[in-house]
Amino acid sequence: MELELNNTSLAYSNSMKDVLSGINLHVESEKIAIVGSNGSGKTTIIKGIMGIAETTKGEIRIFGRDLKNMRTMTGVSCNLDTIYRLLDLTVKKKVEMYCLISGIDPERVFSHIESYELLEILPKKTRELSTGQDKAFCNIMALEMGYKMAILDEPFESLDVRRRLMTVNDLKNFQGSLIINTHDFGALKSLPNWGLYLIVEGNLYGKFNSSDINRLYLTKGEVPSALTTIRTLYGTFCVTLDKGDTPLSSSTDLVNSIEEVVR
Amino acid sequence: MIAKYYFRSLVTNKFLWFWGVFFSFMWAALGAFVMDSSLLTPLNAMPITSAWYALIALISFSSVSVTLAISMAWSTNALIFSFKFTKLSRTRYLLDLLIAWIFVSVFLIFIGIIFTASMFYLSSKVDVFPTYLSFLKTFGIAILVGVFFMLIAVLLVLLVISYSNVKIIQFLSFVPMILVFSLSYLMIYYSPPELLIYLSPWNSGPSLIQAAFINQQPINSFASSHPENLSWSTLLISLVLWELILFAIDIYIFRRIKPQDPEAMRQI
Repeated sequence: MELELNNTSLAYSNSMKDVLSGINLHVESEKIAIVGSNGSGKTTIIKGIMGIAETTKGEIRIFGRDLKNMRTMTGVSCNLDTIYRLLDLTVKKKVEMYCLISGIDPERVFSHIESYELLEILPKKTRELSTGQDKAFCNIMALEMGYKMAILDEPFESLDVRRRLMTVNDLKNFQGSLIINTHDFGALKSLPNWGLYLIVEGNLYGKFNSSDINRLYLTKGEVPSALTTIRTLYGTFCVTLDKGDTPLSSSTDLVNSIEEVVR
Repeated sequence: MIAKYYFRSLVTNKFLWFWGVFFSFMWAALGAFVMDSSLLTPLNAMPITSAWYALIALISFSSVSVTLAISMAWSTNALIFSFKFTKLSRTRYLLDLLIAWIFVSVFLIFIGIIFTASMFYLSSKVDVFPTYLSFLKTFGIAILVGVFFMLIAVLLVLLVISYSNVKIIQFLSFVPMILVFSLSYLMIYYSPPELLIYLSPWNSGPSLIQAAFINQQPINSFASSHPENLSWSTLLISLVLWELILFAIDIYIFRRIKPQDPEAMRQI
């Protein structure tokens, strides 16, 4: 198994409380999307996988190795900007340095940056980049360094339409395993046959197929034929196929769908 | 592995220029023209200049090293990621930091010696520049002392980001410097016991640098007219042992670093 989260609880070092608990997720040579609203815990899962959020219970294994004792494994990366702040350097020097410590050819990264028409960022420090430029840079770094498994947090956020389409293309053509987090159902319509998980109040539900996104509905209460049952502070909901209270794909955000069902 | 990138990052840090260059220049000028100008005679200009350089080197290293090491606190997430998911190991990272720091130190030492000797020469009109051999010896010893200060700075930063509240990190800047002003300055006003000089790098450092500068035996006091001679080899062994111990502790604590919230760091 390439990635395993087994009954994992995650916390931040400055907090005594677990932010997420009992998370189970298994990824084997596949592309998955975790969809949830802001604050639902999507980014915390990514931080947990990268070792930036603390695993307080359970375990995280990557390519069979326990994350806690993981050292010098290459081929896995993510697009969180803070992981590319090892030193205060220009983008060009940063690319060279991260390629050196990851054992990849920097020319690959430079041509990827060029394909996004972002060569003007090379002499700048990353803190001088616009939000969109920074996101595109981090996406590229994650996809190149994470050639075995790339993990992308909100990869489309702050990107202009052209770069958003290029990113969708990059994700489709990526050869390794991919995990993306997004709050945007719309983006998933361009990514058929991906594993789809919903995250609500820190709990993961799935897996569904992203090709079925137009067939998935949210229904209030318990339904016997439901694909899954979601229990929240607002009540119980079910994800159903082909019929239900509101189609998941009609909303740009999972919370909007829940609110619609509650109303 | 990343030493050349670390060097580039260090030399573009504006604090290096303030604490390392301007601050040294200010102390050299103060020493030569204000504090010791009346004491400079042809006979004692050289010992006084060498003692001042020894202390200026310590002030410079103590302030610059912590300021540079504090930048690690902004990189905790990147460090955790890099140690797990790249070929960069904790030992390699610390070694690269030290290599980069040694190159920075060479520059700081060169500027420090030239500034100090020039100021004291202008004030005394006595040739107080070290000989070529002394210059090289001073370089070697000062680099060794600089490595100690970087290792202690890294330890302090690691202790805060691993076990304490990161909000106190700015106060760290004062810790090695306070120790310089309290322990190293003892040697200007007093003759500290030999054991203290042998055991404390804050004292063995200036003693060794001063001795190298004038190419004489290390002493326990810059104030006394009859100081005790100390052993070169014992002082050097003590300093190197300190560095090995600190290196091992730093590597150990690197395993325990906790990620810091970038928002919290921005508020510091």
